[in-house]
Amino acid sequence: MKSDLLNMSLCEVAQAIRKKRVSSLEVARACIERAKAVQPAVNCFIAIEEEEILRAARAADRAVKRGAKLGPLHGVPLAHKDMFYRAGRVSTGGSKILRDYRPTVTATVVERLAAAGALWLGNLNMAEFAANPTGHNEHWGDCCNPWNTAHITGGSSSGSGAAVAARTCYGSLGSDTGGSIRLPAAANGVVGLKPTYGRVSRHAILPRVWSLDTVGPLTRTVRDCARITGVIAGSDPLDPTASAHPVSNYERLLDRRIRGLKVGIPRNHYYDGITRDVRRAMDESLAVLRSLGARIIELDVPDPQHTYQLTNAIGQVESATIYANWLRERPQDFSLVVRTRTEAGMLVPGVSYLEALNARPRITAEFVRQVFDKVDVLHAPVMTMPLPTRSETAPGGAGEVMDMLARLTRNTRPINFLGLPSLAVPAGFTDNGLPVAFQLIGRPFAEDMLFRIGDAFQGETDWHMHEPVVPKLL
Amino acid sequence: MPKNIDPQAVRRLGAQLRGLKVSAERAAQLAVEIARVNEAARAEGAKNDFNDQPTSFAVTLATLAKP
Repeated sequence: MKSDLLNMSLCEVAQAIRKKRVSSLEVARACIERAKAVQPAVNCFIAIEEEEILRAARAADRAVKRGAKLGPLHGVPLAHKDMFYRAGRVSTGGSKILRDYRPTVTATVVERLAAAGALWLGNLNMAEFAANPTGHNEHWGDCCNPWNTAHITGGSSSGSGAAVAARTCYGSLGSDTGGSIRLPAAANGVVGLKPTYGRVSRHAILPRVWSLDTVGPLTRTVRDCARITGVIAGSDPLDPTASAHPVSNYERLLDRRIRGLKVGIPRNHYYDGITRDVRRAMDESLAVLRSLGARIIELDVPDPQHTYQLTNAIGQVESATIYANWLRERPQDFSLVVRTRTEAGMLVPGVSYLEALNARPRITAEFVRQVFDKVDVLHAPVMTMPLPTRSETAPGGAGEVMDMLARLTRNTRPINFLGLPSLAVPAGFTDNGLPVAFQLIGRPFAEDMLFRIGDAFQGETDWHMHEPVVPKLL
Repeated sequence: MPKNIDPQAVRRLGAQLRGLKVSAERAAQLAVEIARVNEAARAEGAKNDFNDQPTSFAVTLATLAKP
């Protein structure tokens, strides 16, 4: 029964709670039990808030009983990357420096989830200051992949990917500055949305790079992802970068009809160096989309090579600014990786930083016109190679490690520079038995289109239904 | 190829401008990294217009959204 409960999607369990087929308390207890069971092997939690969530679940059940108006996430346990502030509650950012940090404000996205009825199960592990793509963390311990704990989870929202895949919760918020939602989504076999820059408020979240940071959900189904996005998206007077662009009713648009939609396959860059097993998964996913009536169109896309260094100019300067005082006063409390990645930003000329920022609108406009005048979405692998092990990507490794990290993010980072939405969708497994995913990239604010196609794909496949067997549960 | 930056200058400016203390070896790495980033920004900046400004990115995204 508990396993059945935990294998329900977010939308299914929300409906079951609403219809009194199951209580929020039963669901919360099952999540706590699973979280405690997987934690020794996976280390996806920094804190499990057992008493608080049980209290909240009882209150949620009372609301159902008295016929109160219920939100779309009523009584559903979620857990989040440990960087979404709640006034008075510790938010570590996966760091040593913020181990005891209690912000005085609450994130808008946290307020919106609570208003929709979601419960808070706990704070999830993450890369220190959201600054690496693997899931290594020397302060809180590495987060391990529930499919095979020797392998990376992807990062920086490592705990989010692992916790959702391991069925400890029904969804999670992550953040994506260069791939930090899509990589752990792909690595753990779950869905992850990096929304359009400005689609979701970033008020009261730990900043990494102001100009590139986005907040989005990781879930097991596209429909679940659409539901959470519908709750958190929209303008926010507390975040001037949050867009007033209208928020679609994402769930209502999921009709599984994609006949005639044009799916683009990039001829250049995004498939370079792809391994045979990842290629096979991509081809199979395209065959599914074709069988649903989508038109698959190959096209040349603007080469993103020059955007990597522009992204570095922006990222290094902004993160150096954010961490400047700590870099001066307590450099020893950073991991060597984060410190060295940030130092260069102190010396990049201000003019170069602004030149990179000023080039962004032009490069994005060129990309959108060249691609989205021809197709509705672009389809590409999130990663072009099977997931490496933690030891293969360990901090302090030789030059090959840096090359591998660059390869991990080569298909995700350009999308952050362009500010476009991208949805990672599970597409099977590579030869090493680990998940693989494609991403659907759309024009600005086309999250609804990505959800439609991703949901139609999941209607024909069951990759998202596969459950990892965590060692402790054997 | 990015134009070379003198590691000694990186070390000196880092200390004088930002209180950044790095070894000679690290200064050499930083010099390469900064040169690479700086050159890319300079090359792209040559295509920018004097009316460009960073805040126009949000407007661009809104404009490029499907009507």
